[in-house]
Amino acid sequence: MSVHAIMPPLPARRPRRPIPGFGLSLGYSIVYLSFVVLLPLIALAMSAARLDFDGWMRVLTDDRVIAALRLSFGSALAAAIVNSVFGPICAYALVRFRFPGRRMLDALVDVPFALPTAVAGIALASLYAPSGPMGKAILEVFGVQVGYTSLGVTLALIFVGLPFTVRTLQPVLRDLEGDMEQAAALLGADRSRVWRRVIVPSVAPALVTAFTLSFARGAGEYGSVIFIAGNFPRLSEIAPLLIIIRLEESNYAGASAIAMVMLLVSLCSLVVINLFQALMRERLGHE
Amino acid sequence: MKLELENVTRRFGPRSVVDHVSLEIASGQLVGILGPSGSGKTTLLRLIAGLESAYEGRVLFDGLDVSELPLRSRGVGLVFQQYALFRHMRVFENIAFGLRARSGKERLSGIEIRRRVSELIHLVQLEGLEDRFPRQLSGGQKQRVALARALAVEPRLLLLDEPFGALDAMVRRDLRRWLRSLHERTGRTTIFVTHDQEEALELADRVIVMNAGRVEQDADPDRIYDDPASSFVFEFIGEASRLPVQIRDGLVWFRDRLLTSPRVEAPDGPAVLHLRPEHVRWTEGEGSIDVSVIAGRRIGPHRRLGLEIPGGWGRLEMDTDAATPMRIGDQFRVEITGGRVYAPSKSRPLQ
Amino acid sequence: MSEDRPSSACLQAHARRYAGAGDGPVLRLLLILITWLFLSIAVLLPLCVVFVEAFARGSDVFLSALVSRETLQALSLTLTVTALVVPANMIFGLSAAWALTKFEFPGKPVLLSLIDLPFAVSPVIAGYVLVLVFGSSGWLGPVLSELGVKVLFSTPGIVLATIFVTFPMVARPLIALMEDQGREEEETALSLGAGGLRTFLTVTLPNVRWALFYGGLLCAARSFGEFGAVSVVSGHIRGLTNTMPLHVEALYNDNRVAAAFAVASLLASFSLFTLILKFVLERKLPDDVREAERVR
Repeated sequence: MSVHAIMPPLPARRPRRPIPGFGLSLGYSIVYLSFVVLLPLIALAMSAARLDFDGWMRVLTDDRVIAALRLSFGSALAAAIVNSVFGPICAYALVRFRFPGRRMLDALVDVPFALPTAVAGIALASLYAPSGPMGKAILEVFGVQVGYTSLGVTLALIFVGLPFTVRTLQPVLRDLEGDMEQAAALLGADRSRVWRRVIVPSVAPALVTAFTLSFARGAGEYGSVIFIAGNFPRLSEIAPLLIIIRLEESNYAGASAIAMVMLLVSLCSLVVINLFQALMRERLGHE
Repeated sequence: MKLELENVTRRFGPRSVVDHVSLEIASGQLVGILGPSGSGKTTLLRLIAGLESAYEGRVLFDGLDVSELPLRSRGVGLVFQQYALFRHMRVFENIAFGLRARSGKERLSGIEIRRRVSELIHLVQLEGLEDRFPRQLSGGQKQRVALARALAVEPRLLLLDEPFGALDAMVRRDLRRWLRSLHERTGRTTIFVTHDQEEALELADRVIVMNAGRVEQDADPDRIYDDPASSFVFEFIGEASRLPVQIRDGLVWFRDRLLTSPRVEAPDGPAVLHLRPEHVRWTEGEGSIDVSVIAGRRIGPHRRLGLEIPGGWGRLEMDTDAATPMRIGDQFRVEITGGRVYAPSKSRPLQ
Repeated sequence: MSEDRPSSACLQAHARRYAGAGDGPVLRLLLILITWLFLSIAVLLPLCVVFVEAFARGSDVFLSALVSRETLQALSLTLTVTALVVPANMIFGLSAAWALTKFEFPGKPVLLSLIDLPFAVSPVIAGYVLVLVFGSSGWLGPVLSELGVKVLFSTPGIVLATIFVTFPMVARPLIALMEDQGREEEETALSLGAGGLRTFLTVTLPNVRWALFYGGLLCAARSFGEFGAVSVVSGHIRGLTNTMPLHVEALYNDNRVAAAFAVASLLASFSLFTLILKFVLERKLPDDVREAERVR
């Protein structure tokens, strides 16, 4: 009524959002993220920035640090490679074939995600320690010690990374079933050609993703590794443990430097897979 | 309710999706906004609803500016293409939602809500389905629940986005007639968006054809079909063929033949003649054009022939009696009995 | 021409031979055997060891380990932390999903990658960065200790560390599902006269309840078992700041192996139980959301 008549004309308008709660939800999310993630990570960057060039060189040329980083990343790489061989086999068998125990094995794949890392850690340690049943057997038969060596670390990381490969590949293989493969078979390709031209190229992108995820996760893993590692400096001491040791020595600069290196490597690997996936999407889209 | 749009503009980045649109829709009209995808028709509907806000211009309901009025106070009934039924609520609760949302002295008693919902269920002929969940309904039933839900709050304006887009042809036709009769009974101002010209022409009192964010033509269905305002509308509505012609002294020349029937709005020079199948007729007489048959398909009672003018001069379509024997490769002559040449500003060039 | 093409029955037989059952019996058997062996050694064996070792010294040792004062205190701390972390992450998840899926705004990808970030950070680093902020020489540590608030080596620190590693588990499925469901139901509710809160409570929340439970379950499971991040900030004070996993570590390092496995078997049972629940809840989620989340 008259209320509208006396309202002044409005100048250039701010866009109105039809659904309410934008400011509240975004504001709360940003505050929460800032306190939980952003602020602490900025603190890490600032702490690492306090080191000058010489300081960085001192930390990074320390052979104990080099050994720890090499162990963490090297074992993560080895474990990711092993999982990239056995993961696809498991995924393929679980998707394709019907056999006794299939459902149980399929459920088991999720166990490493769900089991607390410390629980997995002590279980693996008591199995593969030189005095443990598996450790003793392997030592006697092959003459190789698993527990308290880099081999033990790799073993623990295989356990941790396994679900990444299997669970990433399963949906891809399931989609492949039927359509693409049938099409290829109908066109007269024989089995090995179907494998080379259809199965492998479709699975490869997912495999690269899974490989990177399990590598990044493995490099930072702590709980399932420390019990089986034995933690001998320069031999079986992982990088996350060295961060804790530096912290206990109140050597913040040293701890931050190692943390920064680890963080950058995992972030880079994630950026690489994101770029890779974008590239694959684009290629598939244009075909 | 009377709806007015004054110079309404919506930009996404540098692109104007709705570009200075002005409209006036009288109370009780049933209006179809018609256009191809990307023409801005859905954005225009969302601007009227208050789901988008205009960058420039005003939206007025009964003369009052509602640009600053939030969605919940506008009193518009919305029906989306995918219906957007509340998936965890039964049909009854879906329809009652708006009634339950009222507060203060507008609050209704449970009995009153039950009565109103039953009326609506009767209106949309869904008796017996009150306790179904949306996932247990067919497309047409979902559509009617969505309509009943929107009508429950007695909206000043009913807005439908591609109301029949997700339905199959039979249901679509029935629902179209039913919606028409529903509108005649309720008399509520209704605007719907569609990309289907047949749907717009059959259902609406008035059709607004949009292209590239602008209104190309705003008229009743007869005018839209018989007197398209631009080459875009001509081609978007119904069948159209195009021939390259020359305009000399306001007359249309196709090669060395003078065509007297088409309406001409273009200045002298090369131009494009737009024709519908009914503008082409079999003849033996003067000023006629040689053609040969290259295709034929059955359209209702007619047979529509694809014709080619020998020498690569262009293609035409015409309708003949389905009983007429006709084979591909047959040659005969046709004359032009209508068509239109648009001014270059309202015309799309021949590629 | 047409005689050269195989008949449709022949085509189908051809397809059957090459699709599903296309691998020869030897290859089949080999692949199944490898799968059995690999998963048994890598997963089943360690899982069984937990329960075998737990009862290795008899059920008396098992029971006394479970009802010891320290175990009960660790259990109560773990439950407290979980009870704080899960609702906090649920509220954050709903809030972030609402902001990210109901509106368009610049910087969306940045916010999304910030939510993904904890997956890329070692839990030890997650704990360490909290020490940098809340430690005695950190940014907020001195101020807070003036106020009498102790974060490190006490429950708030453990809660914060757990939140850091678990919040994406609730937020991600919610974002995926709400993106999937779109905005039209909310827009309709508002056009029918409902307010924002009513729309959220009666339309949005019921639509995402399973995803919310699902995320909450994953978050609870991880909160129960989180070790690395908590280990850095807890200070390992027995009977006070030891959570269940830290208690397992302490017992194991004390060479009380049977007791350690007894507590570990309790944790393992809990995680097996959450796996079953997860399996049930996954059926309530749309396929695409489920596939996206299984890998995390």
